[in-house]
Amino acid sequence: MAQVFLPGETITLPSSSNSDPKVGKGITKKKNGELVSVQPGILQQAENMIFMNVYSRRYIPQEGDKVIGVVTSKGGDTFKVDIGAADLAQLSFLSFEGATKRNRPNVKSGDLIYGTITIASKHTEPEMSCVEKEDLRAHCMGVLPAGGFVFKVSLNLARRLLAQNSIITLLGNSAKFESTIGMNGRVWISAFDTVQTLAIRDIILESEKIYESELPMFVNQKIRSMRGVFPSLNAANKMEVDNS
Amino acid sequence: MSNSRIKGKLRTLRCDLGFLKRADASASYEQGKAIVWCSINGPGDVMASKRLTMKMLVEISNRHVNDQDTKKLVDTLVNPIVEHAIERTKNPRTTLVITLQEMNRDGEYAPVAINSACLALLDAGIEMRYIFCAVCISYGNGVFTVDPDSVALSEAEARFIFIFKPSITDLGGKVIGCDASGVYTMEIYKEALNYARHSALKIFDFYRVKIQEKLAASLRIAG
Repeated sequence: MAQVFLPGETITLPSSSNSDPKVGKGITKKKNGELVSVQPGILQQAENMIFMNVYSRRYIPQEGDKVIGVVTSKGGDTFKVDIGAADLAQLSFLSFEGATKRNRPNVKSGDLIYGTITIASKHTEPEMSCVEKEDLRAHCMGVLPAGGFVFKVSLNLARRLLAQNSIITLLGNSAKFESTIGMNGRVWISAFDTVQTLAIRDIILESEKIYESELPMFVNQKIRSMRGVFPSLNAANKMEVDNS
Repeated sequence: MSNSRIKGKLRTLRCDLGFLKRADASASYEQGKAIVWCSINGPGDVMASKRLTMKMLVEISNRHVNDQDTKKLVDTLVNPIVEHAIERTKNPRTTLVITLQEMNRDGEYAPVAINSACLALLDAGIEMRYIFCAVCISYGNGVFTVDPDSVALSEAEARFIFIFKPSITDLGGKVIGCDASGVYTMEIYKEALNYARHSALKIFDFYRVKIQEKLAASLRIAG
């Protein structure tokens, strides 16, 4: 059963769980073995790990995160990219697929980049890359296509959108669009025209407050109103879940 | 309690978390008719001249506080309490900008501002060492008034503000800050502190309820 903890509170685990779990984000272990939460949120347990699910809007760079950034400037051999954190991330010219010293990537100031954070530490500026380290291929990273629209969401919503059966999949059954979601809370949507793009954005933003089990019905209602179907006051109509 | 020495109780508490769309976190907190807004942005970029190598810089600004008494409380009570509750070593060389704005004054500003700041910090999900709350008690004509409004405050002989952090051992919490002004004896001070503890419990419960409401959708998913 999920439980909310506020900072400074001692965490007592239910007796059925592992007595010495690995401690993750939002929790510290004091010298006497006591577990204390340092961030407000819900306690999550997975295998033998425990961590806090914290609601936050501000991104703090983490190695391995895939993020959407905006190129702010070029300097020497690197681009400086704004990823919504305290520092700008460094992106080397060579960290693009097929880039060499002679063959520079076609990236200008203001371009949207989808990349992976390769180095993140509280003492250094973050670094990112648009290729995977193992095979130096892009795997969908790089400059995002023209058109489309980026908006900011909370980090929790971004993680939720990246999950298995998220609202993106449900929307995809009814609407045609491309999307990219950054762990830094930025979502890029590109649909047929502006009206559709904004409608999808509104649906995503509103879905934050909807419970998981009610998502399919919510998406259906929203798609119908997007298509101009008036909401019906007839109770029978409300129960109908239709994929037209 | 049928104690004729104490009058009144904690005013109605209301709070809206995350109501400012452009801020990372915000709280609109009301205690009776007193309203204080708090917005938080960060951890963010900071100028090289202000940067701290081992800690996060916490910049707190209390907008439009004009009277001397409140200015003194802001410098000695509000700012230090808020700053010390935050865990600053996790994000060195960044800054956390906290802005407190008084929308309506009814009673003392400082306790309402402190509670508003704590709620905004909880909304932000920033690492904190402990949560805190402030209670104001006034004393006059042999009677204590809990959480006095402007009228009650103007009639008081002495006014106490106590700031608590939660504690398992002490009722209400451990006292981490206090400001007393007026004419009083140690007995009056101790009795005021005792009454304040009961209100502190209610405020901490209020924080918990608000955060649970906010995380409600996530709670259902987590099961």
